Amino acid sequence: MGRRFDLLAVPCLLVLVALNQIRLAHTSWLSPWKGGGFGMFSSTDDPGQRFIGTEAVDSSDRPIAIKMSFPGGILSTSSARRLSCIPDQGLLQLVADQMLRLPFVPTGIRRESLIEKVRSGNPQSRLPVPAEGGEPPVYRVLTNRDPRVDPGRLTVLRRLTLQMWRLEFDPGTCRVTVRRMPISATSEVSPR
Amino acid sequence: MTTASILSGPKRGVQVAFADLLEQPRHLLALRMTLLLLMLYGSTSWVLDVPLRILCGILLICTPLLTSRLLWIVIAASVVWVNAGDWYSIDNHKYLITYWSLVAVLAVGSSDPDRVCATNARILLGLCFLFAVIWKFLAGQYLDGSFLQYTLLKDSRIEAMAMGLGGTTRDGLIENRALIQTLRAYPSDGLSIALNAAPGVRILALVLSYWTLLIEGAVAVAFLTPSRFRWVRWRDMLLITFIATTYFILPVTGFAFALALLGFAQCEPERKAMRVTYLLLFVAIQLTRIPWDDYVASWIE
Repeated sequence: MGRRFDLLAVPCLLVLVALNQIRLAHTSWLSPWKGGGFGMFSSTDDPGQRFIGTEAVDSSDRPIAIKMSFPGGILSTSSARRLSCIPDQGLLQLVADQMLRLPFVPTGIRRESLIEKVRSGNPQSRLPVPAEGGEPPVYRVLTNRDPRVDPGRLTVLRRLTLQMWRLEFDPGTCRVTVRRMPISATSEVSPR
Repeated sequence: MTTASILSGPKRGVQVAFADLLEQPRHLLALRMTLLLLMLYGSTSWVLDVPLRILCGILLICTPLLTSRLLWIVIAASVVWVNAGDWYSIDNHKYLITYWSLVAVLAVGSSDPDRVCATNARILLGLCFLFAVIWKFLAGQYLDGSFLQYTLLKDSRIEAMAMGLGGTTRDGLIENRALIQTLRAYPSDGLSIALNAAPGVRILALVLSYWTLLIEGAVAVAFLTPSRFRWVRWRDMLLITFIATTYFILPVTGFAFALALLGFAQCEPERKAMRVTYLLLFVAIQLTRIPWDDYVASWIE
């Protein structure tokens, strides 16, 4: 290979990647921190300030709170990370469609099962009893690591909206504000 | 270096060790440091971690293989393949490591490996800092200090600085993080909260922002300016100052190690003091892993 190639090929590659990163950050919501443009620590718009919010209704048309998670099968860890770095409408829609097909359980189900197991071996113990009529439960996707669940506690969704949000900071007032990003996906089961 | 020379006294032992390191051809020592960089910070998944540790370990202990082009091609191909798959989510030092592993392939196949390493290291450093400065202007959060103001108010890694120099309280900073978590839990457009802040944080953020623009800009210009200009002899000092003043506050050790390695690779052999400083920096960078910030914050509290 030529001497000039040895000296300049890699720097040229860096420049091309960095210019493309600047383009993507201005056209495709790529976080300035990511993509090889060396924009780390330049902006508050890092992937950690972006997140997916959920709006869901169950099969009885009741709104329920959903905790966003990506158990095996919905998305690879790498794709899940990518969603906050360079949010993609198609990928978000895929996630919403897949989540709608899965059963949901209250987030505390695993803890409750463990407490029950300890209590059954220690009848005299004073372990906490789940409160009745407290705050409405938050749900998450059932995973194959969860204990056997009473079918009555499983919930399926009728409609799910995933919305990308980000936090913005105003230095004058020191306020952090939640802002909607123009990337969302809704999935719905058609009424019978 | 002989056992006898080390036993003749610790000071003499250190001198002999440094002399031994600096007598090695610059590019060979840079390649060895590259192997260390790859083993310590090259990967975040086992898919790359396992082959890297095996291959880099073999090259480190087996001198004749250190310049094996085939093995360097396998290493670089693994790094490129895995990092390209995660290109939009990997950390920034991974990009620099990817480029540098390609440089290693070019260097070991070249008739002048030292020049290939040194020239690429100098240009890559200059470009890395140039784009870092360009982004700080594009994002527009350095001229008003807002990026660092927000970071000081929410990032637990620089709590001691926000308390000691900015005048905020630890309770206030802990509550800031909890408030932000609450916003994330119940998002709605326009929902906002005011963070706990002392006036000193804004001033501190502005000072740090302009210092960052100044030092990063100076490093970019110094490394991208041809070596015939006399003042570029300050480039090593500027890079070392940047590493020392940045990564002891925000400990991103992988990036600090990569920058120090590229700095060492391009540092002219006759500049012994600078080369020794780079070598000491490799050691000092590891000290940033100690949670100084926790200790200082507890002491201030």
